Amino acid sequence: MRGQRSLPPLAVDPPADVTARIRANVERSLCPVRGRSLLARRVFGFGAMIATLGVIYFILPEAAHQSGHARDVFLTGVAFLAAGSLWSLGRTGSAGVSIGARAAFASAPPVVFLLIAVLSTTVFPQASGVARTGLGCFKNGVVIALVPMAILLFLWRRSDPFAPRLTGALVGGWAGLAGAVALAMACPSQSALHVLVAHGAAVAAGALAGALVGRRLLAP
Amino acid sequence: MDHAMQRYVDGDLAAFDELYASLAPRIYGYLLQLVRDRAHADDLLQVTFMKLHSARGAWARGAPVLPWALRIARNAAYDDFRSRNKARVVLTTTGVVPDRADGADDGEPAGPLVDALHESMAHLPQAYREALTLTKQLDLSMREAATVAGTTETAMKLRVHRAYKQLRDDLGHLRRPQT
Repeated sequence: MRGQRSLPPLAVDPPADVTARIRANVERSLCPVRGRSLLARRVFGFGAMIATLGVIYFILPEAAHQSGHARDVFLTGVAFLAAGSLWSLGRTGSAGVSIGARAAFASAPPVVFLLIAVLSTTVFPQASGVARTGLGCFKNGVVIALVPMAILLFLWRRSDPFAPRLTGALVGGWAGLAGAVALAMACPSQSALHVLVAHGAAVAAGALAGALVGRRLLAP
Repeated sequence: MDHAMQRYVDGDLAAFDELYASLAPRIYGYLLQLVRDRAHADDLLQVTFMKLHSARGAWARGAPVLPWALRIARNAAYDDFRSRNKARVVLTTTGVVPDRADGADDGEPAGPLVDALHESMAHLPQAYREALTLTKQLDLSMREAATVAGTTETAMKLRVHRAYKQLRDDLGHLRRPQT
């Protein structure tokens, strides 16, 4: 369709005083800006999530490591975070990927991960201790997710004028998934309902918080 | 334009001048179509370029600049609408359009057909007028226009089609008789 213009072209020169004011403002504060490429943002963001998971993994009590459950969850979480977050983040406005497709694809890994977590509750041996309440798991997941979320928001700040709420929701959702994975490494509960509700709520809360702050923080 | 943007990000003032000369008339025209008031569009143009300036480091190198800048302008306009908590000025009771974005006020010749076209466009719903502006006047592709307007490519095609249909209906009486 490009080039099939059939209406008068829309180009109106701005008033000279407006142009002069804009130029003066730009000249006053112009300096080289390094900026971050999309790839760098993705890699740093992914790294922040993995680093958070790694810290949680290494501070787990010895009992949690013995069964191999924590290692399995850690590796599964890394795989899902890599596949989803590296692909989906920062693609708004790029050619070939609609916002709906991106949202659908991005929401798939957390759903699949939670599904696997629910199924695995009958496979993995139970860690020691009494099952925590769902609220406790939810709170811990949100607290753990705050760190990667802050880093991701910083990396993507003012970068997406096209769909900042969606990008915010994705950033928050991925950070929430990192929190949910960290929880899953240590959570002694074997209840499928607990995993779905308490751990899934951490992902949902992250996505909601990201969507709420996205318009303000991520749009130029 | 994209190359100028890269040099601008690297701190080249001459590149900004080049970029401004290319971007500003189109963004200003687009803002005029949105707000239909010159003073308001002047303010929004400044806001847009200040936002663009402060966010230049976040621009993904190699990405097309025009849709990015237009979307920033659109967001600025809609933020302003919301903050003022009032609707866009459309028309007076006499049917006179407050401002025209075609440059006719600046000395361009305007025939009755052009006048009728602009008046008819002013009566289009905002979404339809924006679709025509982006695709037929700013020469964006359907995909780029959809990205700027925050909708899908299919919806953008539909809007353009319906806008054209409405224009055809409005301007049908001006059509030359078939010989």
